[in-house]
Amino acid sequence: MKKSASSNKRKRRSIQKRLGAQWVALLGLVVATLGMAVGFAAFTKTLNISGTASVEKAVWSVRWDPDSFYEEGYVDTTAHSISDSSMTFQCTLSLGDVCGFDLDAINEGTFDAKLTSFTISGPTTAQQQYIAVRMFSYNGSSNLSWSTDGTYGTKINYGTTNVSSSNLRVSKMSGSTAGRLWFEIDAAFIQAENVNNMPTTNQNISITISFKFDQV
Amino acid sequence: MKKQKDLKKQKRLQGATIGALALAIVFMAIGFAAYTQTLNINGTANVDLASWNVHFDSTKDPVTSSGSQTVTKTSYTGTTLAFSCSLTAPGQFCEFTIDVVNEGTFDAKLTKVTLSGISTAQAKYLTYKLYYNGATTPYTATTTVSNATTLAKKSGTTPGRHTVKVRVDYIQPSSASDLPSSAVTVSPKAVLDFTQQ
Repeated sequence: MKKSASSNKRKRRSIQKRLGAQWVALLGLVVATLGMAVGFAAFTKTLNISGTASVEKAVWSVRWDPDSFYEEGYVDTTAHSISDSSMTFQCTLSLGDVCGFDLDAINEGTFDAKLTSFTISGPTTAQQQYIAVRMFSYNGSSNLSWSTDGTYGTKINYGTTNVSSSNLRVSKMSGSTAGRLWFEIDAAFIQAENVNNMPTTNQNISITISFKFDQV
Repeated sequence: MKKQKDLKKQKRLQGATIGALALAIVFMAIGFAAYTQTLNINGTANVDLASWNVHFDSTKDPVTSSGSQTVTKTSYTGTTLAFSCSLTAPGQFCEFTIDVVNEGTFDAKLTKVTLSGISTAQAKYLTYKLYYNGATTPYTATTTVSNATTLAKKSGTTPGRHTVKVRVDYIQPSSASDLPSSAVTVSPKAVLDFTQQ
């Protein structure tokens, strides 16, 4: 009995030893398997680009400068108001009178601008016979002028007049100085070519001049 | 007796586990074997240690394009490039080119381009583009790439090489109100994912 018990003990020990060795082998296999799996997974690569772009502010700001308003000294306006994008005025004219004023467009933006066209509208065809609109400006080297009656500069018609791209620019803000473009606008009560076209009653005449500025 | 039974059970479990692992390794080894065989068919007599090595060529500085604002690299490693540039007015742009090289022993391909870092508001006055391998059509948004040209593995001492051109444009928005009203710092990012061909 004793012999048999001792033999069983030896067998158990032997089996336990073998089991221990097998567990070590198993562990090795697991590590090997994981290693191979990692090997397969490693075949990708990510490349990164990161940047910092400093962008300075940009502004498009062309507007009327109310402080530049100046009566030309013919017939003063009876009222006027000026906002950033529009100016309105009223005046009363007798035949031969001219109502005129100066007004600057200023550019406080970060883009150079240019006057590309202006449009004169308002007077009826009949009124256009005795109301003339005259406009003056200066491009830094020479005076430019337009008039519907041909009195000054280029004779124009009511409606839209395109302006040569190089003629009237208004520079972007430089430091704290805004670019500036001077205009003189005159409205004149003139003698119509045909006397029958003259008004027989008092007239309220609306004149609108739209200036179109584009980025240079 | 009970202990002996337990031991037998353990043995059976071990046997089954070893069998399963051995089977898995055999399958994976077949994969490796196929790869090795491919090398042999290509006539590669001496095979270096296999390596997967796709990276930026940080030995060459980014090349700033003509007309671009100055681009400064702030850091440049194999996998990361950081740059900075300054745009002071619409119409200006920052553009530079770098190289991606493959010095490994596997062909690679670009599989995804991820572009980020520019908000919707900023996108009204900024565009961000990435041109890969001389393409004339840029990536302008995150894109899964399905037809990228193979970035060839190293041949002799010559690595495979593709260009990456990055461009940021300060554009004139359709509405002036979309322009930035104060100075803005934008952080565009691009991530390029490569996988084994």
